[in-house]
Amino acid sequence: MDDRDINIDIVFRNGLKDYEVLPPNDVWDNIQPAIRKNKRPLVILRAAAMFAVMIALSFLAYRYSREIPSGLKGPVMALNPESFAPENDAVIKTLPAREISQNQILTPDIPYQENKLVVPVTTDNIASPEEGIVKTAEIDKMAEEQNDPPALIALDYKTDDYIDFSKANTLEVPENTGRKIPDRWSISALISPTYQSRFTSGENEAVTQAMASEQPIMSYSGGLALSYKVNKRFSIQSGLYYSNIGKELTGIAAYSGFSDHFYTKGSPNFVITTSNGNVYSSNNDIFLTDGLSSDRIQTSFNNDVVDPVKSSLTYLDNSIRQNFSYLELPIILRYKFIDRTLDFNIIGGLSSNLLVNNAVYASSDHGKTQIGTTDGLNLITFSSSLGMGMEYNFSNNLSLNLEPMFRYYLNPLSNIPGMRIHPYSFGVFSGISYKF
Amino acid sequence: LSEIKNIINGCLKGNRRDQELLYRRHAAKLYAVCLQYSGNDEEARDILQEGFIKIFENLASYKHEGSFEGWIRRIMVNTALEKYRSKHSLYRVDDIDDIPEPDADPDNEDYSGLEAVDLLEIIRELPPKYRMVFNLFAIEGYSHKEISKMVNISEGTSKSNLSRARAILQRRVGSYTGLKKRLLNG
Repeated sequence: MDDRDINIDIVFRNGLKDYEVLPPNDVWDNIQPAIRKNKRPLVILRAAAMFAVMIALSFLAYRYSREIPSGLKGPVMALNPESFAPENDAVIKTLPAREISQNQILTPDIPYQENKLVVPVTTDNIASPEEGIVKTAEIDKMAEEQNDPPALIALDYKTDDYIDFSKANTLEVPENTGRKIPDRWSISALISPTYQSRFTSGENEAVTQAMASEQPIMSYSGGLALSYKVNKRFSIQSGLYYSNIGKELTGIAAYSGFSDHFYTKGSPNFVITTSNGNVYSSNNDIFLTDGLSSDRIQTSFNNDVVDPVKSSLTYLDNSIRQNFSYLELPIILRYKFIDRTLDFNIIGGLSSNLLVNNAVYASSDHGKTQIGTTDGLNLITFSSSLGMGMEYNFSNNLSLNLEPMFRYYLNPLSNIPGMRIHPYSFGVFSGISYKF
Repeated sequence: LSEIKNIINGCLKGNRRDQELLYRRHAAKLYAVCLQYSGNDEEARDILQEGFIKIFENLASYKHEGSFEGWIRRIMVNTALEKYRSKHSLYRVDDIDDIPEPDADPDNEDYSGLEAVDLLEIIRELPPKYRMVFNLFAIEGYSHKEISKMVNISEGTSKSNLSRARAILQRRVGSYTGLKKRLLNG
């Protein structure tokens, strides 16, 4: 190699060393979506999908509840058998107890028979004794003045039992004319996206450092609840819920294809310190590297030994996820402080939670790749919850529930030396209830 | 140093502002590298785009030990190399004899009039295989042994390609400087 060769090399090396050219603006626009391929949009989509399903179910329930009354044909009486005491001369019997909604006007459906007066009645007639007096007087007058039959309603199939208004001018109506005795049991299907965080105390430097790089992920909880109404205000509820909680361990990049280069056997390749306990890798095809801390991952395969770029490992994700699933058995008390079409409840209770799934995985475009599990988790945890419930009654049996709930875990998910970590969560449960 | 560390940590946590900041800081320099390794602007843009995605994906493997600029440059060069390997069969590999001889003055070693933009233009006119070997050897400092593995050629071919690349560059540089001098002297 002569001097001229060296000279030309130096000319180009030095000449281009600090050279800069601004790239076209659209390059960043193309890079950005590729590196923001986080799964958060998927989480939002799932939440939106669930919300849409709940709305659809609620709409169907509403439609169903509206169709029931319109399907009823024939004579129907609004009077509750318990509503009238047969003390006066006015004798009223009704059809076997059937429900209709208040203020529903009933139409005549049987032919008029002389001397057997039948009165058009709305439930408003029943609600107010004074109003009942006025109306019955008016009817008497109408009956005297007109030859034409008045608008009529069947009170019973037996004509002997019709009200004889010629003998009675008034109807005594007891105050207990309201709703029928409420259904005591109800079953509910509820689901909620939940936001997780935690209260911490104590000192453990390694865990504190690890926590700085952990982020909560959107979790879910849902299940079936059975409720028993003790009295008008109080009810007790239990059921079976499934909840999914977890953490994103940011800065830990995962690559696959490791087993093509390195054969490992026996002890796990990677041990990761987390605030929920150590994660032990069990998938030998996975290579992990931590860009945020040199202490979080314990491994003999550090970057001095393996370069994922040079080894052509397949990049999976820039963070890994720690996921736990629980089956929950709650005991919850409800106190109804507003009892209208839209009821309001205060809700509080305790829940015992059984760990049913423990996984650590990396997500990529090709799906989830299991990495390992978290060690030392408590099999059973206990949590307390407090919230407020709103219940919109579509009908006597169906209602839509919306329940913002705060939950606090009474014991940690795992026992970390020197640290007490109590998770808490906030979620808005929504669903439908059926009373029976 | 701590600032770039903060930016990297922000990127690792998915902070969009830090990701854009990292890109804006290094895009111009890396785009020049991409242009140096590519024959046209479109290819350079593709390399820059793919290279930056790799940088963000592999950021966790950067240990803050060596130069960050050197690390991201290596990734960009590797991306250019992958692009070259994937397209290599599509290129017509010009032999030195096929290349039209420029109006050269090989003995002229006065390169003082040449600016970076001229050098970039000259280097981009090289046939891809000569350009790749010259860049890897003369600019990046790889040995022929390393280049032979990277480009999947023999060491002899690497040396031969480098020699031919230099010959072309010397002629063209001579031609450029001669032309510039003539233009300056009227």
